[in-house]
This record gives sequence, structure tokens and C-alpha cells, in this order.
Amino acid sequence: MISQFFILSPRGDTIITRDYLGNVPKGSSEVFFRKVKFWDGGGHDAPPVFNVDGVNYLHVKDGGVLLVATTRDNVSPSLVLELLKRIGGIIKDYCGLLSEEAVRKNFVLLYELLDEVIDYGYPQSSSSEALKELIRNEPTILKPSKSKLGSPFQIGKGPTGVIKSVLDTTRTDSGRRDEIFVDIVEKISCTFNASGYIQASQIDGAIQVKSYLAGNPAISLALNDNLAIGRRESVTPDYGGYGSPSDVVMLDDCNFHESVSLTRFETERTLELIPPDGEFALMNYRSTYDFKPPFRVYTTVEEDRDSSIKAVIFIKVRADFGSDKVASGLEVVIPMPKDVQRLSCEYENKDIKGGITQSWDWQEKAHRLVWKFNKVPGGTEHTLKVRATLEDGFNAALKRGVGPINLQFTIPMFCASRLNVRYLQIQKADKNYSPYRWVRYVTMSNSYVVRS
Amino acid sequence: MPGEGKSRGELGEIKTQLAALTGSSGSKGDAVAAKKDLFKKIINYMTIGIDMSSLFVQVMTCGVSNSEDIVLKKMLYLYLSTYAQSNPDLTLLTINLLTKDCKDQDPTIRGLALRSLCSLRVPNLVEYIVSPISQGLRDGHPYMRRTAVMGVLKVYKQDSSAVKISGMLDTVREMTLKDADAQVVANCLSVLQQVGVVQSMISRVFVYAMLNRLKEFSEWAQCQVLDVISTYRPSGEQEVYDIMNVLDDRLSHSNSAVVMATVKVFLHLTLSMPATHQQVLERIKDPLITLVSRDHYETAYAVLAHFHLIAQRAPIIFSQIYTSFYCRMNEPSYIKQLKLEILTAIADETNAYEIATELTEYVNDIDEQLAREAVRAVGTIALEVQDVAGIVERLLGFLEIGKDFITAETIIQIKDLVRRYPDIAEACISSVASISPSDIEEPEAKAAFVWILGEHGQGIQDAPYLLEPVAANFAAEEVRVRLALLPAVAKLFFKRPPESHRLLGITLAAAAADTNQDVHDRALLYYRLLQRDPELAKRIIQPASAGIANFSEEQSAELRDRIFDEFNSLAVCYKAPSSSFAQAANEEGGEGEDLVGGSPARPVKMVDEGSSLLSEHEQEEAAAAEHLQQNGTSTPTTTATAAPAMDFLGMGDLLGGLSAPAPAAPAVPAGPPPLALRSQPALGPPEFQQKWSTLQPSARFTQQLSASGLGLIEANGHKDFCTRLGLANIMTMASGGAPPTYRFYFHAQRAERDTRILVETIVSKPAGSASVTIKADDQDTADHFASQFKERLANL
Repeated sequence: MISQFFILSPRGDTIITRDYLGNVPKGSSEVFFRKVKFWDGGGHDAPPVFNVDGVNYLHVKDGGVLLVATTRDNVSPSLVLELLKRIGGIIKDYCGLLSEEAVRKNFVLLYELLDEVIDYGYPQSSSSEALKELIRNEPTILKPSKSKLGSPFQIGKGPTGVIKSVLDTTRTDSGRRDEIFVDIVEKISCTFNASGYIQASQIDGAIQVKSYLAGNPAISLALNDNLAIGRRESVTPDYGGYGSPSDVVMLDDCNFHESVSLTRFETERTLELIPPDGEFALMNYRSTYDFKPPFRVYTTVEEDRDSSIKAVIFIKVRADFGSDKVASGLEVVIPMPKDVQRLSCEYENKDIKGGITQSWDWQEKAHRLVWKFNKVPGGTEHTLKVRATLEDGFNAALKRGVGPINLQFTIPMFCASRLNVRYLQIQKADKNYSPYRWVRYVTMSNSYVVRS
Repeated sequence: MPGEGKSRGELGEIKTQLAALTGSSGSKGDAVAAKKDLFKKIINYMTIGIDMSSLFVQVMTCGVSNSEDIVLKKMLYLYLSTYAQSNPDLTLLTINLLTKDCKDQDPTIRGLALRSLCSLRVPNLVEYIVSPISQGLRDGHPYMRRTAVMGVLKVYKQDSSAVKISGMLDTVREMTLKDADAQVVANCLSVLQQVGVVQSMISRVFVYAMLNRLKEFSEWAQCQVLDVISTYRPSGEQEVYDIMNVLDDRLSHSNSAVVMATVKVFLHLTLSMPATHQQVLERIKDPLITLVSRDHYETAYAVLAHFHLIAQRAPIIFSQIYTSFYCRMNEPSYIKQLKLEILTAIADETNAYEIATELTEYVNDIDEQLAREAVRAVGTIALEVQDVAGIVERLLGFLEIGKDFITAETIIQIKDLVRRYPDIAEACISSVASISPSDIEEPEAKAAFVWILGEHGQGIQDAPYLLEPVAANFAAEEVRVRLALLPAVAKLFFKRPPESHRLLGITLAAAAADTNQDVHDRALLYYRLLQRDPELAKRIIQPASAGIANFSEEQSAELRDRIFDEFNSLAVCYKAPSSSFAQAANEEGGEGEDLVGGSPARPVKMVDEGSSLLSEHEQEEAAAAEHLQQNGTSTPTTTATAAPAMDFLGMGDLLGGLSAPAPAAPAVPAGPPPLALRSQPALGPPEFQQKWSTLQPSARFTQQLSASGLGLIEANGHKDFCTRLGLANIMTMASGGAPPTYRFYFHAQRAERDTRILVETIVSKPAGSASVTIKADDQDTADHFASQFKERLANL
């Protein structure tokens, strides 16, 4: 099984290392890091599994650090990689978050944890609440820097807003706060062809839970009644038509966390479980059924009437979702044709209300234009007028070069698949027990591409 | 090691501090806190790789005096198990403490002590360890039993006889079936697997017992149990269904390791039940795609690698869901690469066009590697499903993108394509002919380009001139280019001797002087062959063979089966069976390069010229049948000059030809009488076809055309051109083609001898030239006719 485990900083420093079998030479972390850093001449991601001199290196990147296992055996890659991922999860549960600094501040605790998680290279106990009994060190909880939380794209990983240790639930003083976070996080991938039709789309969703409930009471989580799960038989792209027949929320497939009981799922769409401590994905799901894309982009390219070596490019973005929702951050990245030498932009809609600010940035080296919004309310429309100076003068093929446009956004309280939580019940005999319950929705872009 | 010098000073300081704390008389709480801080420091140094083993005695004495503090004790044991091996003698002194702790009240302390005791890896201490383990196996607390079972394995690895003598293995075997704690059972399985006795235990009873309590096991232990079960061979189909029914819900587990282990059981159980096996493949595809769709790229990678393996075995299962494997903007390159491989594997008649269209988008991607892979993928798809319209055109379209590396990759793909399908060569070569060799830098692409020119030089008017700069720069080219150039030039020479004579001379001279043994030897071989018997040389250098059905670089089905046997293992990620990487030290198996990469200098295979031409012509004839023209009538009055006979026998001065340029085009000596052609020669298309395929080309040349000449050829659906030739008793058999390339077949008959003359003329509009091939019953007539026809074209 696993010969060694180590955690490396982004610069390749070993910040945790444990040797279980002693059959892999000592310098393995350096061998590994050199290989990863210069994979394919550098600049490319090394695959998570590779072999150097008979030693297999498996690794997972998380929180800026590298979690690595070495082995000489022909192991199951899924097993080792999932285990590494789980170790990353345990560190988050105990230290509040996973980062180089958090690992450095808590390395004694982590050695203690690792001792229990892996014995002689074989995984043992890995659930955060079972480990609690065996752990004696106190975590050092880092307060995240403000700048990190400020970015709208950070909440993507789920309920990371709260940073606390699962050891918190064993406290008996008044500082304890029982709470459970349930986040429905959907990532949408959507590819539009040059005519604006959807070529391929998919929603990858997860119900992410972060639980700090002392005594681990059972909970039940009820989803939409009208939820249907099953693959559609045909995958012919549906050009432009949205919406499934009737009001059924359709999913292709889903999977569940180990702790979930499905006895009431078939009939009542209710999931029952005794939630483990800390963070976990209660359910992952996937849907290729049509949904209404939250953003539309239209590009037009015209010849400049005043100058034959200039073109005017209009980029229009329309927020196609309810006006009660607001996208918290939108970034439109527009690669420009080779012909474009310089450009300048102006906003068509100069004085928009509601504190919306926008900015553009011509990244000459990457040859692309980046157009950013701090927020975009549903139902609004924005146009950027780009005046581009061309090398060879205007030609009709120019439009093909404007793109593929990539959008990045986050829309809180929006759920593209329309999956929703009807209720979240915590089953505890004590009537006075009322922990904080948070149910949140967020939809974000995964790969949102408009081709030209 | 950074701070090596500094660490020596630090080490001394720590030593002093350890000594001071050991003898300190302050309050107990303060002492423990101070010791903890110091121990943390030591472990930190240990982590960054500074050797702390010299502090062994001090650390032990300092730690032991406060060993009632568990946090301190854990740090002490961590230090101990790290450095015991470098201090075997001193370690003996700690045995007492550890064995005492193995009897502690608190099970976590007992477990901790036993785990540490077993992890010391000091050979002569085994005797002290066996007894605590034996007691541990009977301990009331599962935590202690888990640790004890792993202890058995640790000792076994050090001293297997000690374990065998003690009878512990029997205890472990018993516990596998009886212990109430699932993790204990899982650890027992680990021991038995490592010792190699688990196979003998697998029975129906055992498997059912494990399956019944599967959900008690942790996710990781479930994988282990499933792995053991995958080797079980049920007695009948009903049993297979029973097992699959029990395990079905494991397929919707969020842990991909559990799902993969379950899939392995399903696939291996149903191997001898083809229909069920197919159903299993249908059943697993959705769960697997869901695992791939999560945003954990690493675990998705492992699943995708298995997807690829399954897709190769049963592409039809996945051909409908190809859009699931489209690349997404932000995915790492290793995911995109695998997706491209899967798309290639599942491309068939139903989806190839859509897939190729999607891949074309990636060819324009800013990521060069992805763009290259995409070109290769389209090339492979074109090879696999060549008859789907539009795929080859996409590939040819990449040549127009104007990025050198894409052009290079595309040429390599085109080469493979025409190797397998000589009949589409014609469609490809006109695109290739427009490329200049100076635009191709990469040796593999250059070699491919050279090969195409040699093999299909008859259709590329400028072929000899395109190759000339490569030959002129011979020494500076890479070996693979030099090796490719030799046969290419020779083949071109057989097709177009007058134009290629000089080129062959240059190439042979340069190659014969080459320092590379292969190049040198091959040059001499060619030279001697040509000198001795040109016909024989032609047969050897340009042998008859059909298109290539399979490329040897492709993974064999047998190899895939061997990898499939090792489903859910690294072998699948490496695309190589474990025997190729597990034991192989000093061999990089990261990509399984030795197995899938092909040999570095891929030998240029030769495709038969004769048979490809024939089939090409047959097609051509069919297409041209509609254009069949009526024979014109006119009196034969044509002047002609004799062309020199082909220099097949004048090989002697080939090498010398370097200094004295050989005549590339026939000289025009005055004198010979004009060739008289019979008016209204009668020849039907079947006879033409038959004759064309039996006769060897007697003469070939390329003639530049004037703009007005080209205009004449194009005008009025070629009728004016054909009529004009008809006036000279050159009859049109067929005409056809579409811009920019036209093709004509003419025939004529020599008045005084009845000798038939057959002519193929390919007019390339962009090049503004006509390539002419003449076949005649006798060489003399052909030469006569050639010069006459050449003049005629020149004066159109």
C-alpha cells in the first residue's frame, strides 16, 4: 500500500512527512517535486499519477499545497487519490481550512491525525468524529485574510465561509455554537456555437454540508417532490428550446455520501442521515437536461465609418435571470483577432444605477480583452463598444476571431436545475435544542463559452 | 540541505535545552509545556529533513519523565519510530516503557504503544514484540485489536518465520470471520493478502459473509473487501446476479474508490456472460460520468483512465454520450488529453462528424499541446472512420490555419492517412503540395512531408524541386529526415526520371558521405542496386503492397486484455500491465512510453504504387465516363522532335552528376522527322483502361502553361481544348476534375506502326502547369510523342 505520505508547500518544501513502509528512498519528495514542476517542459499540469524509477507518485492539489503518497505496489489509483483528498478534508475539519500556513501551525496535530488515519500504509479511521476521541492536540485556527474572502469566486467550494474546527463541538462552555450549513452548489457548463445555439450543456451540482452538531443527531433533508432521476435517451442538441416538459426537475444521475439512507428517497424524496462532523458532499448530481442559460452574449463587428483600418465591435451581455437575483461578479474574457493591434472601449450604458461598476482591461500579451462587473442584477443588459485598430484593414472574417468568449460568474440564491430543499429537520428529543440551520443556493460558471 | 551549518548550532542548543528541562525543578505544568514546545521544534526539524537522531538519548530521558502527558508521549513515540533504526542499541532501552504502555488502562494508550512498538523496524527486537501483539489480538477493545493485526503484518515483513512459528496467522484467519469490529476484519484481510493466503480462503460462505456486513466497513475497507471478492468465481449465473444485486447501490456512492472497486467486481464476474457484461457496461456509465463531473480533477482522472480502457473495448456503449467528454475551459491538461483519447476511441459513423467539429475548435486553442493533440485525434478518427464525409477535409483545413506546429502535426496525420488509404491520396496531396518544406521545422513532420512527396510525387508537380532544398541541406537535417529522403528521392526518380536525376545524384552523394551508419549503408545499397539493375531496384525500393491495415504502434487487443485484468489499478493509468512498471527500477513508466509511443525513428513504410494507381484510375474512369467525348476527325500533320531515352542505364555517372548537371528536361536536337498520327484511331474506354493498367509509363514531364493556355483549357467545359487536340489527331478519351485540378485522358495511334499512345494530363490551375504521363507500346514512339505534345502545350 502507501509507502510514504507527505505534504509539500507550493515551493516544494516538505511540511509534513511520514514514512510507513521504508521501501522508498528518502529523497522521494525532491524527485516528485522536480517532476511535477517541469512536467512536459514546465507549464503543464502533471497527471495525478506517475512513476519514476519504479516508485509510483500519487498526488492531489488542495488549498495551495500538494498532498502526496508514494508506493511500489500496483494500487487502486482511485483509492489512494480519494484517501489523499479525504486527508485534505480532515485537515479542513480540524484546522478550519487547508493552507500552507494552517498545516505549518498545526503540524503536531496533523502528525497525530495521520497516525490514526493510516497505519503501515493502510487506511484506518478517517471520519472526523471517530478521530475526535483519539486526538489530544488543540488546533490553531487561522483567521483568513480579508482579501481572500473578498473575491466573489471564493465561495465556489461550498460553505467555506465558516472557519472552525470540528473539535469545537466537544466544547462544553458557552462558546460552542451548534450549526449546520447546507449549500446547493451548481456549476454550469455551457457551450454556445457561433449562431448562439447551445451545443452542449451540463449542470454539475452538489449538496454540500458542513455540520457542527454536538452529539451528531439524525437529520432529514427533503428535496422537491417533482424530482426525477434518469438519463435522457437522446443527446441530440436541442437548439434553443428551454425547459423540460411540465415542471419536473430532471437529473441524469446522482450519488450519495456513505452516511445517507435512501429508504425514504424513492417515495418521498427525503434523505436521512446522521451527519458526520465537518464538511462533506451529501449528494452529487448531474443534469444534461435543458436549462435556461443565465447569461447571453451577442457580438457584432462593423467597419468603422471614419477609418478603414478600424473596426467597431459590440459585445452585449444580457442577464437572463429573475430581477430579484443578482450575480455577484461577472468576468467576460474576449480573445481578439490577430489583426487587432490596439483598442479602446466605452460603455454604452454609462450611468447604470444600483452601484454597479464595470471595468475593462486590454491584456496585450494574451491578446484579450477582460470586461468585469462587480455585480449584475437579473434582467439587465450591458454593451461594451470596442474600437479596434487593425493591421490589415477591415474584413468580414474578423468576427470569427472575436472569441471564444469565456464568462465567469457567481449567482447566489439561484439554482439552475431548480432543485430545492423543502425542509431540513434535526431529530433530537430535546425540545430546546435549536441549532442554527443555513440553507443556501449558489450557481456558478464552470465552463461558459461562447464560440465565434 | 538549507541551513545545514546553522542546524549544527541549533542541534547543540536543543541538546542543552533538553538537558536543562530533564533536570528542571520548576512546576510540573510549566515543565511539560516547555518540553512540548521543544519537542515540536525537534519534530519540525525532522520534517524538513535535518537529522535529529543524535539527540536520541536526551530526547528519551527528557520525554520519559513526563510520559503521563499524552500529547508529549505521542511526540516522543513519533521521534522514536523515526530514529529507532539509526539507534538500534539505545532503542532496546525504550522497550520497557513501550511494553508497559501496551498494558495501560486506556485503550488509546495501549494502541499507541503497540503501534509504535511494531513500527520500530529494529530486527533484533522482534522477540520483544511478538508477545504484546499476541495479547493485543485478544484485547477487548477493537482499537487495540486493529493495531495488533497490523502489528502482525509489520513483524511478518521483518521476520516472517517469527510470525509463522507464533501461530498468529491462524488467529488472524479466525478473526477474519469472527471479529465483531469491521476494521479489525479489514486489517486481517490486509495481512492475509500480503502473506498471500487470502485466495485459499475465498469461498461462497466467505464471500457472502463479507457481503452481508459490507456496510459496516469504512469506505476504504469496503474497497479492500470488494477487491478480494473480484477474484471469486461464482458457481452459477444466479450467484452472479445475487452478488450484483447486493452491490448495486455501491455504484451510487460518492467515493469513487468504492464505485471503481464495485465496477471491477461487476466486470470480472460477468466476463463469461457477454449479454450481462454489456448490461453492466450500460449500468456503470452514468455513475462513472457523475464521478468525472465533480470538480476533483485528480479522482476524475483515475476514473477517466478507466473510461478510456472500457471505451476501447466497447466503444458502442459510449458512442451516444460523446458530449460528456468534451473539454471544458478550465480543466487541467491531463484531463483534456484523456478526454481527447476517449473521444477518439468512441468515434464511429454516428458521431464522428460532430466529434471532429468539436475537436476543430480545440485546434484553434491557445494551448499548443491541446491543439496538437486535437490534430492527432482528428487524424486518428479519419483513420478509423475514413468513410464519414468531411473528416479528411477538416484535417486538410488545418493546413490553412497558418501555425507551423499545426501544419507539422497535420502533415504527420496525412502521411498515416495516405499510408492506410492510398486512394484518398489524391485529395490530400494537392493540399500538401502547396506547403513549402521551409515552413516545416519539426523533423517528424519533415520526414512525413518528404515521404508524401516521394510516394505521391507523380501528382505533385513540383515534387523534385520541393525536395531539392532538403537534399541540398542534407547534412543539417535530422537522421529521420535523411533516412526518409533517400527512398523518397529514389521513388520519385522511378516516376519522373528526367526531373529527378539530379536530385537523386545530390542525395546519394550526400548520404554516402554521411557519418550515420544507417544513412550511409542505405545510400550505398541504393546506389549499387541502381547500378546493377534499375528494375530490380525499383521492385525493392518501391515494392508492391496494399494500404496498411494496422499500425504496429497501436495497442494490441491482447495488451488491453492484460490491462483489463488489472482493472482499478495503476496499470490502467499507465496503459501498461504492472509487469512493465512494478519491478522495473530505473525505468520511467510515467506514460508507458515504451509501449505506446512507438519507436523513435519510425521506419517509413512503403505503399504500393502500382495498385494504388490502378484503383485511382478505375475511379477516375467511372467518373469520367459521363464526360466521354466523341472522337474528333482530322488529318495527322504534326512535327515532333525526339527526346533522349531515359537514362536508366546511365547510372554510372549518377554520383558524378553532381558536378555536371544532368539535363532535367529533354534537350531538343534537330533532325528527327515529325511523328505521323493516324486520323480517327478507334479505341474504346475498356481497351484504354486495360492498356493503361498494363503499360508502364514511358515518359513523364511537367509543362508550364501560359495564362491564355489555361484559359483555353478551362473554357467551354474543355471542349475547345479537346477539339484543338483533335485537329492534331490526339483524341480525348475522357476529361474531368473540378477546379483547381483538371484531368484528361488522350489517345493517339502512330500512322506507320499502329503503335498506341496513351496520355494522362493533369492540369493544376494554381501551379499553372500540366503534368503529363505517356504510355506507349514502344519507347521510341513515346519519346517522339512527348516532345511533340510538350511543345503543343507550351504553345496553347
